Amino acid sequence: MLPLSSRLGALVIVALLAAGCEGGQPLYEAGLKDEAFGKFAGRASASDEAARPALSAEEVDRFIRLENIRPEERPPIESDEAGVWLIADRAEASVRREADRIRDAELNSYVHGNVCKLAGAYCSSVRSYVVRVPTFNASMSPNGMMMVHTGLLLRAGNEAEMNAVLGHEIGHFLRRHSVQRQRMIAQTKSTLAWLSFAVALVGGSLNLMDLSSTIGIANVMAYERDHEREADGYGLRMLFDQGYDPRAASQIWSRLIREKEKAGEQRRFNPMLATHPAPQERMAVLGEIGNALAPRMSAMELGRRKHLSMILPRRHMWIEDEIRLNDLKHADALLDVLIEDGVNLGELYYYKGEAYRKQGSKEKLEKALEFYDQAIGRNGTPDRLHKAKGLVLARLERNAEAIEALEKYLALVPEDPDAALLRSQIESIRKKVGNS
Amino acid sequence: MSGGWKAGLSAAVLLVFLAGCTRYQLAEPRLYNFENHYLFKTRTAWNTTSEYRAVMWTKSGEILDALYFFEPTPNGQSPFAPESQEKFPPFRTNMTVLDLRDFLTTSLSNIKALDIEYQSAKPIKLGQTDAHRFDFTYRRKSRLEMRGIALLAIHDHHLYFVLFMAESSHYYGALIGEVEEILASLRVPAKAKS
Repeated sequence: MLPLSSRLGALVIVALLAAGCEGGQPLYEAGLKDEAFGKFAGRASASDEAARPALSAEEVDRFIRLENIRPEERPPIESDEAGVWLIADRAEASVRREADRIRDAELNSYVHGNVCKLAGAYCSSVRSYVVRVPTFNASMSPNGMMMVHTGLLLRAGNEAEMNAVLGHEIGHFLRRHSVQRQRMIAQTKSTLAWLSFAVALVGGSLNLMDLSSTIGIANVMAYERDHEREADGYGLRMLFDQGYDPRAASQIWSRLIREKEKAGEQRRFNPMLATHPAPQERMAVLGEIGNALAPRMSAMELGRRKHLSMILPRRHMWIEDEIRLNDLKHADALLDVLIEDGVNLGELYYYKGEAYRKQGSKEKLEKALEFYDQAIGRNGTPDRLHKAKGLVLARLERNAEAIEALEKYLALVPEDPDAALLRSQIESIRKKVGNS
Repeated sequence: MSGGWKAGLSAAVLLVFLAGCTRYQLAEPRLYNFENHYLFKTRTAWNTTSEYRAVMWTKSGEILDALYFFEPTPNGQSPFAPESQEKFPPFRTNMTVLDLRDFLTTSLSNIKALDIEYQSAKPIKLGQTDAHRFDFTYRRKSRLEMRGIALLAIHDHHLYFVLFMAESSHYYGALIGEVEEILASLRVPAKAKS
């Protein structure tokens, strides 16, 4: 076996090779320059369209490796692509039945309305499902099934930011990334099999075969990262076409980076095995392109008011889902980023208190009280803050204040289903005080 | 070697392998004392197995019905998982009844229970020990509707926790009579081991 230093050296070379194979910034621009998509997309204005960069013949050869799927096209049954679609069709049938699919008609209509606006003639080919999952994510299946996590809706500060991600997912669909990836894997496996055979024939060592397989994996991952870059570019293109501020594509990444930094998640980017480009790269490149595009647009919007009108009435449920993950650093960081956005701060400070209350140690309970106090008097503070505050005070044995807070809550919400429990809690505190 | 002998040997080897796969044991109808933490009796046989910090009883398999008796959990730990699995909230000895319900909700959410709703919460006694009973419903991701009962008691600085969950359209109704008998007989001994 090769010594450790040699193996590490080989891995570094592989990483560099894989990184060298990646498309970089031009791939982010491929979507903007895609004439084929332009035929089916609704456009903001003719003058904006003229401002969009064009793809050179050389770039067509380099980046358009497979034609876009056409609106309402279904791959022929004998094709490898049809197999991928059939698997996705089966997955979609189960997604439709699942309990975490959100059946809120108004929210689904809002999200799908945006998908349709962005997708243009592809509208009927893409079906969106909002799922109650507290993570920043959306996904696209090869058959046009898009899953949108509530964690994404919670974090997007406006319609433009949300649409940058929805457009990215539509980009995966129309560029047929799933089948491209499947073909790439098959090709890589075949090449590696022949390579291993050749190595064995000449009496080569197993280490060489291991190395070739590592190169293969790195190559597939680099290919996937290129798809992500390309899809990001389509997201940007769709913002541009529909008159949204193209800088929003970078801003949503900036939010996510801030959240991860606040949570102390300093994950190092793995240049060999990462399935997506680093968020910092996406923020920087999308920002650069967005900044160049914005001045060329005749008008643009963020769609913040409409977005908030859909998100705010539902936000409490999604924040509760995040808090239930029971990861205080994560919840604290998310709430801090939402607080920076400045909407309904009373609700956000209340939930900061809740995240700390769930941890239950004396120190965390005291911190919870600080956040409840910060919430009071601000917009969106829920009445149940007094209930939570009373329970925290009871646990800290600040009995008179606990009784006061719980009684205040019962005066505000006498019909609370927990009213009987709260009254018995007040009685037991009184008894305790009387006995002491 | 005759063919019959070979077949017999193969069957024996297969049985040995299958025995290795056996997870459940039979719990005969009788009085039980789980390490002096829980005393109760049952009048029919159940299948039983141990999981992390709990003994689980079931009639039809744990997806359809399960009755868990959790080991007493000390302050700062979760009955559901080791401390390393931080997604489960820690139990605290100073929890109020509503904190216990929140603790239950968060814990169940982290075993993929969705849309948890409480039908009732009431104080009960497990022998001499004060406890709380929560009746609730939830859905699995597959949309299977479930019903459950949780009994929680803070005793001797530990959480005593018994949980029954069953599919609601048939299994809950089929078992609830017997489960109620078990729960009615349940005692937490006054001098519990910790």
